[in-house]
Amino acid sequence: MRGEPIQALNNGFNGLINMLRTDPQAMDSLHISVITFDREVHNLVPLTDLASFQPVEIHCPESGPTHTGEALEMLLKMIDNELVKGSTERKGDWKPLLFVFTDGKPSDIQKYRMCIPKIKAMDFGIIVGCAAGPKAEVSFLKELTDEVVKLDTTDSNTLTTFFRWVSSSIEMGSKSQGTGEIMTLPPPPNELNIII
Amino acid sequence: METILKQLLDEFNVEQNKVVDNTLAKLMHNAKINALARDINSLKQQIIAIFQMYREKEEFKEAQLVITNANAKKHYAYSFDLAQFPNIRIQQIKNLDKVGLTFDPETSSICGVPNMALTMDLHLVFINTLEENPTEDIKIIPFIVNADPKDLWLNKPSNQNDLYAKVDSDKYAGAFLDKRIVVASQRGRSHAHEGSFRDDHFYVSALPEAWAVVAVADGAGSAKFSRQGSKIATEYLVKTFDNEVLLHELNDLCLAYYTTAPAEAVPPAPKDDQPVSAATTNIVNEPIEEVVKAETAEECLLKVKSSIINILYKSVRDVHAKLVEFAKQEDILLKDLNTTLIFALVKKFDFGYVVLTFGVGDCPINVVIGDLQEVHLLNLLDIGEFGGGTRFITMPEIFSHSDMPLRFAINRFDDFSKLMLMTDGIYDAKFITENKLEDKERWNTFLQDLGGQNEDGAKVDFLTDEHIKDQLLTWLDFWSKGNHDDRTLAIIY
Repeated sequence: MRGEPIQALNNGFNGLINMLRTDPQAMDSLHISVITFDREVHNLVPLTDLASFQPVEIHCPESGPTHTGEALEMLLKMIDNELVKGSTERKGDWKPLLFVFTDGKPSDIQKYRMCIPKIKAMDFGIIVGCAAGPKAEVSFLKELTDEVVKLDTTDSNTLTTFFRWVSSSIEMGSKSQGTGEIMTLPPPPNELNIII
Repeated sequence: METILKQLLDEFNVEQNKVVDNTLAKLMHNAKINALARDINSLKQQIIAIFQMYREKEEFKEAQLVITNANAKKHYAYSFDLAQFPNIRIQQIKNLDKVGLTFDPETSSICGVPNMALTMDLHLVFINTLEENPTEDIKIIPFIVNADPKDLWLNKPSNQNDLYAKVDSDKYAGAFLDKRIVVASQRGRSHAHEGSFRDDHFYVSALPEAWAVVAVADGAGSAKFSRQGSKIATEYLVKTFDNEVLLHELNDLCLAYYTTAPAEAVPPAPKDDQPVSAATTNIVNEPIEEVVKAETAEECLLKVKSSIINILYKSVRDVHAKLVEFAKQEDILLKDLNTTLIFALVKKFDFGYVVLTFGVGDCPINVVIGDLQEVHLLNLLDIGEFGGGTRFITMPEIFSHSDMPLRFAINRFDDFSKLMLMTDGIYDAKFITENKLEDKERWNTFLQDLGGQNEDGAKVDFLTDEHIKDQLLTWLDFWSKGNHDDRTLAIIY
């Protein structure tokens, strides 16, 4: 991803942060961690509370493999270390929400498939896969989650719409629910195609 | 010297040969040439110095300078770390006064209290101090002032024309046996922000045979019609007890349990490892299965206990059945009505107050004895690993789970100063974790908080009843970061 799409992604993502900043519930409780994955996997922004979150710029190499599996592996480790589970002495965090955004397909498919059951066992509030642009393959994301959206284009309008929907999905994550119950996502706007 | 001459010859395309070498050798000692070469060197130094100066400015301009976010109405201080740019001096920062912050060039720091939320670009006007006639340059950095979360909350009234509409707050004060009760229920900010309904509900009623009951329920935020679920759960629960025959039977059973039965059936002395407190002679919370193994004398008591619990159990089952029926009749899903439920069914006997309780979900029932001599949590809480995770009266699986008997408790107190039922909107903010619900220090703070020791000065005056329900409702408006759920608190005092 480069040129307009990556620019649009950056604008869209930072726009999402600004949108969330106006939500008092999110301002009080939301923490965000950003992992980028291409040939290398980086925790671009370590878990940061929304109020301290700084605008980020995501860079993308022009070509090369997409290590989605390695990114999931990093995510698993981070969840183990950073997520606070409730006990009689400690208040638990809300269920974490995972958004996987890609314009390609995993190059490390074996590792990717190895991580999927572990990710599923993590009890995320929701996992949303987003396949952006013509080259993104939906089938791999479907292995990870039932909630997959496809963006046909990656212009800034589509991305803004997408991130606005992400924002409303995040807001759904802080409501009390039954143990083991699955969260319902708000209906996506027309620009997004839900893959069934 | 020689290098300079050679570079010069290269520049002028003078080919190297013997004549040139000889000429060079002679000029090496020429005074004029030497003086000119020194001048050239010095000029070069000056040029490179100017270059460095400009380069530092350009580097500073390009450097990623991260300035921490500010929060509206909160004091802010930030010092620029210019160690990497020793000659750069920030003269002023334009736009900063827009938010009410000031910049001190001497210390390179920003401070003040930002007066509003804003995302903007700061224009840093800077110079290089090495320049003779410094020229100002501008570096732009993004700056974020977060809003005060208190200012972000909207208070939209709920639509009273909607299905199962409910008022945004409710309150009640009245008699409860020979004591008083005050209850208030306030819609949470998270609901007010969206104009959605309060999901909590409560119901208080005096019953035949001198019993009284209070029920509190917290509808799940994730369920569509939980506001109706909590309403049905509390109101219907109370209705199941509005039955003279049933309560008469309950009278006899309680009498048997606390008077006749213990004298005849209970082993003469309590076991050493089970201290029996003066005021609470019987906090029953052991699972029935365990007790079954005990000796025959205790079995008799157990039978009585089992009969009491079965009466309560039947009521709870009826509530569940009522919710199932309602969902069916309205053609909605049962889980759309998801709600927790706690209740206390109380009667004053000659031998003290009998308090029968039940709970499913994460709302506690607590009793405070005397001046905090004792404080007990009377119900089992369902608190998941994750925030907001719990169980509901609407879940059929709770009835088949082995912990069902633990949800009921039979207690007797000579007297109590407060019996409280609260939803997690209160418990999360004031007690935070389950283990603090029996912590006397925490309870002391909580009771003082109710007594007016809080930042709003909101006081609930238990001595003069006149405005108590309004006072409690006002008190419920307390601010607690991250806790904006509906709040319901019932206090028998």
